[in-house]
Amino acid sequence: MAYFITSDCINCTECVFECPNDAISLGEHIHEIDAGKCTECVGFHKEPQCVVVCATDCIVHEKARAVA
Amino acid sequence: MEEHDVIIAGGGPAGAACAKALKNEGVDVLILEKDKLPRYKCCSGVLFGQTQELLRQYFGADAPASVYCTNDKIVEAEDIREWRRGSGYTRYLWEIDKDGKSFPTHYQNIWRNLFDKWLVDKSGAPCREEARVKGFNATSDYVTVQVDGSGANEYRCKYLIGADGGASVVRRILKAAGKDKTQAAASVSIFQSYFKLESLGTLKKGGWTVFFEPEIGEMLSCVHQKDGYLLLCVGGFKGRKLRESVEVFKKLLADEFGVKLGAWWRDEGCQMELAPPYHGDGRVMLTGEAAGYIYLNGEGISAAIDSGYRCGKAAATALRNGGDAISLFCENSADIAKHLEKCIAQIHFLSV
Repeated sequence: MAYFITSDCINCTECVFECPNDAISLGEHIHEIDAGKCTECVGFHKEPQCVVVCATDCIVHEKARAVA
Repeated sequence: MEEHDVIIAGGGPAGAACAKALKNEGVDVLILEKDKLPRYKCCSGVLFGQTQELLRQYFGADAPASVYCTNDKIVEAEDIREWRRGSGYTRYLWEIDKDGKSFPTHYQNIWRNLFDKWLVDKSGAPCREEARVKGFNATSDYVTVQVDGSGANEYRCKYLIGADGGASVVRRILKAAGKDKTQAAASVSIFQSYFKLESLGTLKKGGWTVFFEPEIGEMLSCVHQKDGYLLLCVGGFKGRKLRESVEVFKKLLADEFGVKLGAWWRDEGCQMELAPPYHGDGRVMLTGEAAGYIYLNGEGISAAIDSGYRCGKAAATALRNGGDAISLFCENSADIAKHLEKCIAQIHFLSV
């Protein structure tokens, strides 16, 4: 499982600096999370660090992807 | 391991001015810039009067014609106006007197990608691009700096200066280590979009119009021309869907002013923390927006150039004579801190 960035992303790049796994980078238009690298911060932080800093609350769990 | 007297993280105006001050004193300095220059930035791209004077004072030059917008070179101070539904226009300020001195009121409309590159070149300091500072270890004698990017991934220096903006990695690390104990008063997100301009409608040509409409965002929104484009800027607190805010703003501009926009060109976003000034710890210094230096209503370029230059002077003095560079920086920038307080007292920035 991993987290996912919706089209509300404004490319502020804050999540890139916070991610402990270097899992986030700029895609074609907005930032993307490499699902292979995302650990959901389990074992290191109480909450995923990208979600904590996101400007527009656009980072959601993959389970919510269908409705995002 | 490659060694320099000073390493500056960030090739924006703060880093360039800092490098210029160090070069003037013959100090060996290297700038590490995370992106490839020239690079766009989330900014209105206007050089206010104080910025123009600082460029002459510290760089001995005016911004060259090559960095200006081709068609819309100047924004007059009197054409920067706030619009309110029902009551119309009033003057809006992004610059006020400093130390009893007023500044020129013909503001220069520039492209930040070209301006920042020109300023870095003008500093005379070497700049390694696509090299993002990701960590450091500081002792009482030196700092080792870890860098992402192809090429050298570790440097040693006597001073590391974080001139890496509002999203400063250097400040973040100092905060995580418990050194920076300041608390941000507010944090806003900013988003700007460029659209091909088809018709200004009743908006004044060459003007810059500011709105305080809570349905767009908790922060002011504003619009001005950049060559053949209209630049729309919106902002809000965490969680605000700023791409939707742009759509609301576009509708207001169409309904109230008859503005007609063509194709979208590009957009940029950033976060801005309104945090108290913090100058760093030991051999790790902060300057510009990374240090919390933002003037009235978010104007950052003049605060960056002035604080960057003073920071470089302080580091050069400490290298030459000994002493604590951060104390020297606080002493030589007391007027900047005072002006910052004056700006905070007059802030007119939020729509809620």
